[in-house]
Amino acid sequence: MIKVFLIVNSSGKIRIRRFYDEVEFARQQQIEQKLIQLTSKLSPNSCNFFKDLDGIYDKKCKIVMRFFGTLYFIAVIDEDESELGVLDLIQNIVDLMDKIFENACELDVLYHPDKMNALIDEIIVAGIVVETNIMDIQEALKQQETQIKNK
Amino acid sequence: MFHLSQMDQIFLKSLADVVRTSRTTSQYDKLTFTTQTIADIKNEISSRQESVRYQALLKLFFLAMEGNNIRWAEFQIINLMGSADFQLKLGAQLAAHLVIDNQSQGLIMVTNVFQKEFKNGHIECSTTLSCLGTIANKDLSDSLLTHVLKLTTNTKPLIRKKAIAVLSKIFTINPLNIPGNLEMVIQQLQKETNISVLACGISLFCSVMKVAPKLYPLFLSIVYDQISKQKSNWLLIKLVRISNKLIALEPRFQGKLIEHYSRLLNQTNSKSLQYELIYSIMKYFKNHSQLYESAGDILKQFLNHQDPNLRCLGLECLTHISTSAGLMEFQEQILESFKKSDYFSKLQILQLFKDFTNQQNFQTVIEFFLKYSDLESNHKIIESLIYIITKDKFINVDDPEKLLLTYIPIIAQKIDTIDNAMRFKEMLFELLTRVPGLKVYSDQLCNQILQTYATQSDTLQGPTLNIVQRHTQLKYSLNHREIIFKSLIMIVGESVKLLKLEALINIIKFLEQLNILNCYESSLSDIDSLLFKIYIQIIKIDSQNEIIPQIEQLIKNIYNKLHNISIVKIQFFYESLINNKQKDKLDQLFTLYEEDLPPINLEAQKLIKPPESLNITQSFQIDIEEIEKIKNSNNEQIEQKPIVQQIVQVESNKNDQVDQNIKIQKQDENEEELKILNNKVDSIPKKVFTINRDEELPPGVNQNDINQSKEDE
Repeated sequence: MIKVFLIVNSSGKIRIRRFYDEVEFARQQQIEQKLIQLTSKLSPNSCNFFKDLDGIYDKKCKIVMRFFGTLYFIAVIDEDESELGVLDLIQNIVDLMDKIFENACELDVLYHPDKMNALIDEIIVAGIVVETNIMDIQEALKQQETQIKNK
Repeated sequence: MFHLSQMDQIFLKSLADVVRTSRTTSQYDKLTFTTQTIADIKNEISSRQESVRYQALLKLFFLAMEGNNIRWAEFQIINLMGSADFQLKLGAQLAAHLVIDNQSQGLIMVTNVFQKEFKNGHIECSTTLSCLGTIANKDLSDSLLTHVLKLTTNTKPLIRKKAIAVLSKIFTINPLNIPGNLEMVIQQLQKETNISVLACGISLFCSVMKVAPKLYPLFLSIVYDQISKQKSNWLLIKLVRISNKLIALEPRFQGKLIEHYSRLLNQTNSKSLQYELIYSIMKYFKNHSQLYESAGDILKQFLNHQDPNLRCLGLECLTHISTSAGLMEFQEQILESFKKSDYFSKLQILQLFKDFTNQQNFQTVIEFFLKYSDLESNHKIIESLIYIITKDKFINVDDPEKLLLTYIPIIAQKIDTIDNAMRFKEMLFELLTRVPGLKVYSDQLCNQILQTYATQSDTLQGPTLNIVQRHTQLKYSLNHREIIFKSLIMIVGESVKLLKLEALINIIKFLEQLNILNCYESSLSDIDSLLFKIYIQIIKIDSQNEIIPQIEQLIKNIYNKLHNISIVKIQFFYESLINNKQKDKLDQLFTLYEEDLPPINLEAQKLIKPPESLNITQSFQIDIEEIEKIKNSNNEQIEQKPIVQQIVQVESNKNDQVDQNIKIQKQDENEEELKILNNKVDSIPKKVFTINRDEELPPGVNQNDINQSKEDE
């Protein structure tokens, strides 16, 4: 299960946040700040996942981080989730963003927060990855847009 | 609700306008801009026009992204969730997690909204389920359980998989919802063909096993069934993960999986599936040599791979090799990879060695990590080394003398955080308690560590620990070096009776350095008490009063340097040295120091009764006895060496009359014998210290009594 999913820019501003467990807002902020501090340790040749030894969320969890362009994709996962699977998931999200926005960048997330959030909600529900097929996800998003246009 | 006039609509700011303005606004005007934007949003979100409300919603998203608190909009967003317009509804559902958490009062209103949505078309159902998955709490879950259960039988796979995902959250939040409902879901999943839905079902089983592990028999047949026929790597990864949990609970399940694991291991090229398989095999299939060997071959590929992620996963697998001997095979490889690894991989390797270091590789491990610590990972390396040293009462340490004199000074120099300084202090105190004989080296240790500190510019640097001294209410801050300095000063103070006169004088001369007094201002009271203890000890040694005037002058110099800094000094000691006053109090204290230290003082022990078997008259001064024993054993070894030399000399004198060649030959033989003997008896006597790993007990209390009382309890 994915416990936390964040998309953060290089200045430390959170563009997308999801907490899939019951966590109060005060604790959410603490967790976010500590995860953002960790982004400074990520380098091109470093490993993309590591144990949460400092107990930022839970010592039994792992933190998966990947950097694309100016955005850090951060996921906190428990022992039921595959680390390489989550890395593939992040790759899928970026591929989808490229398809929807054409050469996606951070500004697309700023100008289309509704589409970005809808995209995440089609992939992860209640902390579980429900779909990884790009075509199926695009289809679901198109159906939503059709519904909007048909009002 | 109100209707915006045409004029207002012209000046209405869209999200794009707000974003552009925000990016061009200076930092000083940001607050004004944000306040104005919030005021605009509060107006617009109450508008009758849906487009206006939608723009307000998008601007709320933007404010949240910029780090602003938008929880004041909770009621408005819940209101929008019940809107007839799908776009508004969807936007509100997507924004719900930004304003609602598990303690929000507004969640009560959401129940009815969601119940209505579940009766609508599949797209509304889908988006509502996604929203519910993020904001569900106990009350909401209980209210909507029946609706969600119904949706698990929906014709659309999109709805079924989301419903199952939400169910996993509902079951986790309130496990009382599981009985009766879980069986229904399992029956549906047994007929399911869609891979996404099956994957969500396996995730549901994982969630249920966390809160109700005894239900595992319900999952065995469906998991086995899917492993034997599935081809999707994504689903197989989940199946192998849940199989690990099932094997832990039902070991017989392992036997059923051997054939399938072998097949999958041979067929798959997917690294993620390979990793899951070798992880499972390393942990649970050690008895199956063929499978274990195949997994071991793939593990070596992972360890040597160029991709750091795969190397990291390979290291993860190594944690499941049961014996240290098994790990020793890979030790060199792992240490080599440490040099090239990134920060996170280094942490993983450190964790591995924390678990698997033993007496055999202790020295190699310590020396390697001390040599290859870098700035980034230094604090973690030191933390791990202190853990390895102190683990299980120093179980890995067979030469405590070498530890104290060789490794500990290097560790002290590398410490750069307060946490590590505190750990170092505790390690040092524990080591000296368990091996009291090592206190003879306290001055040597101090010199090695503190001399390095004195030569470097040592102003208060880095983070500090704030302390308020209870009895004086003095506030001061300690950095990591000062913590170590204080602990060393205390150890020397405790070991004063064991040190030679020369060592004591050197300590006073060391403390006289002005940079020490300036840098360690917070430790001046510790320095003060150390000077006092040294002074008392010197008076005891120097009965002829030859050195005392020199010592008094040195101590006076120190106090003169401190006259501008306020310290908590031992008043009568200071007065007797500087002003020749209160000498009678000093004499009283001398006699007190000479007395043997009993385990307790009955005058002080009025509230809690001492144990009956405790011998109050028996002295607590075990340190000196221990040291005397060691000294005596060393003296025996030193005496042996000259005796041997004498024997050799007498023999060579007897042979003076023998032919010169034979004489030379015999001398060579004797020299050889001497060399052999010298190798056995070192010129510097070797002291053998043993670590006391028993629990600390006061004299007179028996370990058997404690064990008996524990059994009675």
